Amino acid sequence: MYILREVERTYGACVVIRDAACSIPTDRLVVVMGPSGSGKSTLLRLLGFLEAPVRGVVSLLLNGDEFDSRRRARPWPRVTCVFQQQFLWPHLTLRENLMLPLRAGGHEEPEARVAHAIELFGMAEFISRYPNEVSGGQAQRVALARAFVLRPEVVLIDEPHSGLDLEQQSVLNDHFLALREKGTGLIVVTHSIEFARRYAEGFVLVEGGVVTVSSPQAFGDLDSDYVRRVVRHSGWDLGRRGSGDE
Amino acid sequence: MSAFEVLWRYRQAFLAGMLTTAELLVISAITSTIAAIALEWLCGAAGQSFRRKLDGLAFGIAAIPALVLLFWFHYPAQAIIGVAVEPFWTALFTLTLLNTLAVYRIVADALRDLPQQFVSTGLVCGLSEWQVARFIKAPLVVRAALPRWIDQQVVILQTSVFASLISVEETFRVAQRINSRVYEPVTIYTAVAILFLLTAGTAMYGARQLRRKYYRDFSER
Repeated sequence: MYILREVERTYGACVVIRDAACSIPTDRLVVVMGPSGSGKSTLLRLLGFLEAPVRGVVSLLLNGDEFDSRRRARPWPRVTCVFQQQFLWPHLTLRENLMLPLRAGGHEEPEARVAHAIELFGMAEFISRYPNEVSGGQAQRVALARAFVLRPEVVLIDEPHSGLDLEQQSVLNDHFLALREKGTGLIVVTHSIEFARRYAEGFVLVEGGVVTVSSPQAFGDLDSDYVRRVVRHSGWDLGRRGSGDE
Repeated sequence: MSAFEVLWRYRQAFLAGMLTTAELLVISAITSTIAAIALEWLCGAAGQSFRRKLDGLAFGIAAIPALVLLFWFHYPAQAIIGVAVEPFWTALFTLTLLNTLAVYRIVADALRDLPQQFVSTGLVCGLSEWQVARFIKAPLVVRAALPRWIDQQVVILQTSVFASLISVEETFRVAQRINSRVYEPVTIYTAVAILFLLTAGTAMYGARQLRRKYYRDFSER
């Protein structure tokens, strides 16, 4: 469970996250939505402890351990991130991209873990190539597999569907489900209404730097121009999802 | 006499000159690279203020012609501090100073251009800062800096001929001495050109092998 207390993040004079005070669960698939430039990726970096707030505290309670943005200890790789651009290390083959964190971290049986991930994510055909030699969808799968082999408790994922065709999106969603079945918490920033409708077990709305946490049932009732636009354009009545009124 | 006959007849002298040139180049390249990495590390530890001062110094030194620096270190500097240093060491110091500041800029630029997300990704995957430096930053920076580093060493090779003007017995100085004896400037300086072509060619070949081994084109295919 993430707990944000009066969190503010600025870049120069620009306030990106404003007085965020909320709890975000880490035991389910939480979708982070909001207009472009609203601060979603910044929130993800705060949750990933890659940035510290200029004011306030980000805390994480993870199976009895507590991490805090004011302290030096970081929850990596128990919490790991998959960025919008996958940032696979370009000097290593895709297989080496999977092996490096396992070997560096002294994990047991790195070869077996990587072999399992290659099979699970269907990467055998291109695993010996370099990152610049594969498509965006393949790179996205490898980036997700790199997080998967570390057996994290929480994965933060930034816009995983951007640049992927429908089939690749579907394959990726299956992988998300596989991770959820293993008990991994997922916090996913996305613009995909379809993904949110089908998979979200919790919502975080970021609009104008304001962070609001909501259940899927209550999301459509939020007092937000963005949510109203989503509801109007998608034809999906978010507020009545699961309420029995559909 | 042809240029090749000159090279053969005075092969002992030319060989000695080339060895001195090679000594200047190799020692300068190794020392400068180590010093430049240390400077970059120091900048990271000491902060932006130190980096700005060093950038200013690097610009100032680069703006002064190598010949002026060489003369300054050989004559006035030694007179001021009251020491007499052998010309070889003065030349080596000057070349190393120029090379260090240039290589520092190359390393700093390569580090600045390295996308920070490669580092962040390493950290969130559980790598320590030392492991990120060793397995991610260093290989990427070496690959990015290698072409400019090679060019810089060729510039230092060319600059080394100025050492002849403070009596360092390198290739050009040897050629001048032979020419003063036989006075065949066209033939002798053609021979020197051939020697530099061979030296630079060998250096470029070695560099190309290094590049082939370590450099990768990261653009999407």
